[in-house]
Amino acid sequence: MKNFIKILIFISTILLLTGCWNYRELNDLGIVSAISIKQSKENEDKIELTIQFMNIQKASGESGATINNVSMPITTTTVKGKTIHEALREATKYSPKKPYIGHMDLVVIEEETARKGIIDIIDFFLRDSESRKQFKVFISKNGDETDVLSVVSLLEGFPSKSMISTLESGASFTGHTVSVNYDELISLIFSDGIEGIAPYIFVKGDAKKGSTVDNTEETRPIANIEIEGTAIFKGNKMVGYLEEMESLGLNIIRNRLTSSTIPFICEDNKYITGEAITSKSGFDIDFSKEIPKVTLNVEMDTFLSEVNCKKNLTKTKVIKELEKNGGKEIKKIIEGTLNMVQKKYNTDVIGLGNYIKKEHYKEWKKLKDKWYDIFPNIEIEVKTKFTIVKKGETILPAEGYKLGI
Amino acid sequence: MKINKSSKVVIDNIKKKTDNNPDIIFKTKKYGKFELNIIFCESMTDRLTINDYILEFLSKTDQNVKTNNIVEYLTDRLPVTKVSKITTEDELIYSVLSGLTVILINGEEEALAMETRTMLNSDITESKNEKTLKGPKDGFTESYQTNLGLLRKRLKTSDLRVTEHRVGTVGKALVSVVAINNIVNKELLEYVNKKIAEIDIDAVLDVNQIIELISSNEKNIFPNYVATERPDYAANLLLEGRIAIVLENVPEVGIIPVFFKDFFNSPEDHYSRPLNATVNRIIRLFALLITLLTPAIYIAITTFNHESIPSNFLINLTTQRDGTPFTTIIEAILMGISFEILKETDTRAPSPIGSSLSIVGALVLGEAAVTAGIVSPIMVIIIAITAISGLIVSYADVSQAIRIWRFIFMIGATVAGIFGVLLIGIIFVANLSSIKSFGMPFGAPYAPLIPDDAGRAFVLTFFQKYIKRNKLITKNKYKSRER
Repeated sequence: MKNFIKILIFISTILLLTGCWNYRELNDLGIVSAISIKQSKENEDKIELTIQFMNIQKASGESGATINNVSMPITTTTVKGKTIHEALREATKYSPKKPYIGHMDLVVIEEETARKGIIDIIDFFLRDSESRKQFKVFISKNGDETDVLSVVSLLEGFPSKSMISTLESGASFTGHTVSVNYDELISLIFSDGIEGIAPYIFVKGDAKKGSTVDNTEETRPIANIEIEGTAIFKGNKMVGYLEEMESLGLNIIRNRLTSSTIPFICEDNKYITGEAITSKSGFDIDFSKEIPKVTLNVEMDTFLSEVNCKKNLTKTKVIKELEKNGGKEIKKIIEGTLNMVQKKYNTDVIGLGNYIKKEHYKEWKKLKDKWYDIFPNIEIEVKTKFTIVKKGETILPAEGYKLGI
Repeated sequence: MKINKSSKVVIDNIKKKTDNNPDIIFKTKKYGKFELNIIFCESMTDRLTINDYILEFLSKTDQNVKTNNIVEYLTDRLPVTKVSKITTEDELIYSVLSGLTVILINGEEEALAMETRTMLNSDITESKNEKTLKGPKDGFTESYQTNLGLLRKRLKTSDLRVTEHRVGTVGKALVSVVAINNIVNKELLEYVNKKIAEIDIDAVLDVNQIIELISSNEKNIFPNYVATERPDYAANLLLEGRIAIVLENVPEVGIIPVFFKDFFNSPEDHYSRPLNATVNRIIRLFALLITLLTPAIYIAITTFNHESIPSNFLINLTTQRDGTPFTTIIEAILMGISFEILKETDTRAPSPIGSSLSIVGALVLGEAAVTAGIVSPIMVIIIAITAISGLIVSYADVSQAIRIWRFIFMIGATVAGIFGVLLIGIIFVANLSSIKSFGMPFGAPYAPLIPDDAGRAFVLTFFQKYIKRNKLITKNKYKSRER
């Protein structure tokens, strides 16, 4: 008996150590799939939140509660509050279930709000125990932040899943945008010598009609979500926007390119497509002068996936020439990106400072304080090595067989 | 009490003691100058043997009896397999009641007992509860002699020691303690023999009762012995230095000591290719974890730790839970108990009813309950996988103990989610490690860790490499003569 009491005391003390104590049945959860954040136009100190709830319905169709045979996968609510948490609790006034953000897929922040600084408002997601830190962060075009959460699509049941898939495939198969998780964004913002980036999202078409069931009944959807380009930050404020090719350059420089198609000139107005298979980049820095001189080495292996000109690809000379053209093309892309981030926005999203900090810490200590004074003036020489590893399933171009070359 | 010289007195005594039991037959016969009283129990004896050999022999030879020492004379000449002399009245009654035929000679202090027992026992059949694909198919029977024979058949050595005891003041069951003398731990053997001799009870009807009477571990729900129906498995365990307890009229042999891992090993493991057997053992381990933890983890992730499952799975689960009236724990306990009831009735019900029972059970519990919206479909899946995995252990005691722990885990999950499951897990492991089976740690070879055996409990190598015995049990280390 004495032992039993001892054990009981032990167990009860362990129970006190537990952090979360929330028994909630699955049916009581209002699963939030996405949230959009914007600063209220009417009163400056309030935040306007649009919350997208998943509409969970019974799997077996016959006994499920569908109204007029119409079932939308989501429902959205717009609420206001001084802080995000207050606004979320405000949502219980409209929703029978308490919002549960543990499985939230994404957060959309309006561009104008992002330009004023995001850290002050999204601390909540870092602090809250319920929130996972893996959700994606998007920056939306002004006025679109509510609409992007309302458009429904046919291909994927839940719009938020659809947006995530679109982002992932866009980032990994074209490199025209970037895919960033919340925790990554936070760490980019707070790291030295590197700045935050986020994908840019907007609605194409009529968002009003896109949020109705009509959108899934058309073969050509009335409204579509489009993710393209990159919003770039300086500190915690958004400062600018990179077009898709500039984003591609950014991905190449940041060594994040998994795959992309790179069309380059072969003759006159005819193009060849190189499918980038691997891409490696690295900085080489010369500190002898006051302003360091940087060489950016890019190596890219490609498969030829499309040849729309009459070239005899069996000849080494021709391949060499094509590789040179390709190298020029990516050099052009990268220089376009560098021009934007160095000259126009003066923000080190390419992570050059971070690289110096990691590899040449002594130099970084000297440069640290005046980094943004010298960053636009750093001369970055781009050296490219473009390799064609495979010519595809056929050797001659389609036209070549007729010509007999 | 010594046998009285006067047969009449003895017979009267017997009649008094057995209260004129009608199936005890007394038959008086003249044999030369002697008067013989043939006593046997009708229900226990083989009448043919008595007629053809004993009575016929006595009739044919009664004219030319030329001896004064009738006891020796008959012992030598009676054409039966085993004739033994008995000197006390108690022994006489016991012999008669166990099916022997006794010849009581008027004027002698000794009586003769002859083997005439009839086969009241079932034939050697296949073991019902421990099934295997390969290996010997014979199983222990209700016959004590047959069971000993099945063991001896496999271990033809003079070192096989059988110590016989008679247990129970009323039941007087034969119990023998079997071990291989040069392998077994002698202290343990002595202890077991001593304890069995000390048993003071009216009757024992099952091995479990004997084990309970001789061990001090009655509090734990896990059994501290393994009751096997398979002589090959018993022989295998004897070779490892363990002790077998054979009880009369019980088709199972109790083996001590035992480790937790033994319940998850099949005798078949050593008859298959090592890699296949290893995979089988790992599957059994998984099944153990599944049957212990699945309902608990389901409860934990659906009521506390929503963030620990992938979003799509959560959506799926929520869809299924939508509209069901009970909370998850109530649903789980409801379904769990329903299944246990189904299992219990299926065991107890007469076999013709059994099949209709399972059909009704499957339909009602599985299909109708879901369609009616009383339970969620996922819960049926959870209970089903739990039940199927639970059947992997063929020893009823163990699977029932696991069942109790499963419910404890479920309660832990309801109180504190995954944390609660973990907490109960710690208690479970601590409990397992604290059990002793006749002085041996139940959790071995993991608690305490015995590096040699720890791997081998799961990973089997080729049989020829198995030259070492478990050193916890025996000091006789090697299985082969060559080291």
